[in-house]
Amino acid sequence: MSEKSDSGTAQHSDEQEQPTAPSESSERADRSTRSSRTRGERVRAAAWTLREPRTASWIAEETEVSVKTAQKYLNQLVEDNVLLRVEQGEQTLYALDQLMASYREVATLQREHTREELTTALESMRDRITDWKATYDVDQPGELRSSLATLDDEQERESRREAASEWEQLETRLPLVQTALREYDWATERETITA
Amino acid sequence: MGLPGTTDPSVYRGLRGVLDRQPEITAVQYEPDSIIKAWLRATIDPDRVHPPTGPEAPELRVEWRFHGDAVYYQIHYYDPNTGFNCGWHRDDDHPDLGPVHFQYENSTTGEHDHVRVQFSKTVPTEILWEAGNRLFEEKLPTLIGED
Repeated sequence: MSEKSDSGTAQHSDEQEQPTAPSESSERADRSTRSSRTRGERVRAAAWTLREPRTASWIAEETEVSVKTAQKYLNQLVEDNVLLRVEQGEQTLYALDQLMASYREVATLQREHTREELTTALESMRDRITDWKATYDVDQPGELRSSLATLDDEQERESRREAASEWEQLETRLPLVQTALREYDWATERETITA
Repeated sequence: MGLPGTTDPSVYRGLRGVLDRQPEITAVQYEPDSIIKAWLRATIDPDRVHPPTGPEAPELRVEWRFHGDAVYYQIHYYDPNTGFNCGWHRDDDHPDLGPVHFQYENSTTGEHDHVRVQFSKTVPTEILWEAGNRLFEEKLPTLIGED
């Protein structure tokens, strides 16, 4: 089912937004704009953010839908290889399929960027890390972040905080870009077959 | 800025879904680019903001990071026409205010403040949705309203 398929007129009662208990001071906002989202969209958007296994009832409470409605959309996402269903004792939990998510991200990089773009980006990322290592005389972003506690100069602290933050981000993107490049030709061949 | 931890492209996919549904937002893109994907920039239609603004389009910056079990985020609005900016931050900048605070700065009136806030939900998409609603329905009309 596509992301857009629930955005039209609701066919089933569990698709319709019901007024919910106002949260803090956002009652007016709830009434005016929340009606633009269906329950399916709320559950599906939330499902992409599941970084640890959760029960359908937990997700239902977070997204203000019935447990039955949450289960319906979560099970669709299991069938679509987005979520994993994990049995733990008597409980059924849902978690993001991290392996599939990583493959999906690699495929996105391959589909949206040329080999040259990925190569240039990879070199730039490595150069930046090399520069930080030399500038701050540390090997890891965690070491750079630890050095903040020893500094009084707020400007220097902010610049190190920024560098550590960027460095941490690049460390997570590097393996994905490397993988995308390593299998770029193979992926391009598959893309040609399905085009 | 300079949040600790790393981002998660799957989480950003969910958050993009929320931003795409916000009526005031016209476009969403990754920054600094779609390879590094450090944060999301949402472009806002100046004609759909109350009170009206323009001619430049205001922006909403959304960054979500994870460090072990800890969650950090910044949802920050900036209007280049007036310099007004405000946002919800879960970071280490104001430990005296608890884990999450709202801050704003109005360069026209000189008003600024940091206040403790909380969200009733923990799922990122629900937090972002609630922040978007508070921003457009309450904060902008109240903090830069003409009354």
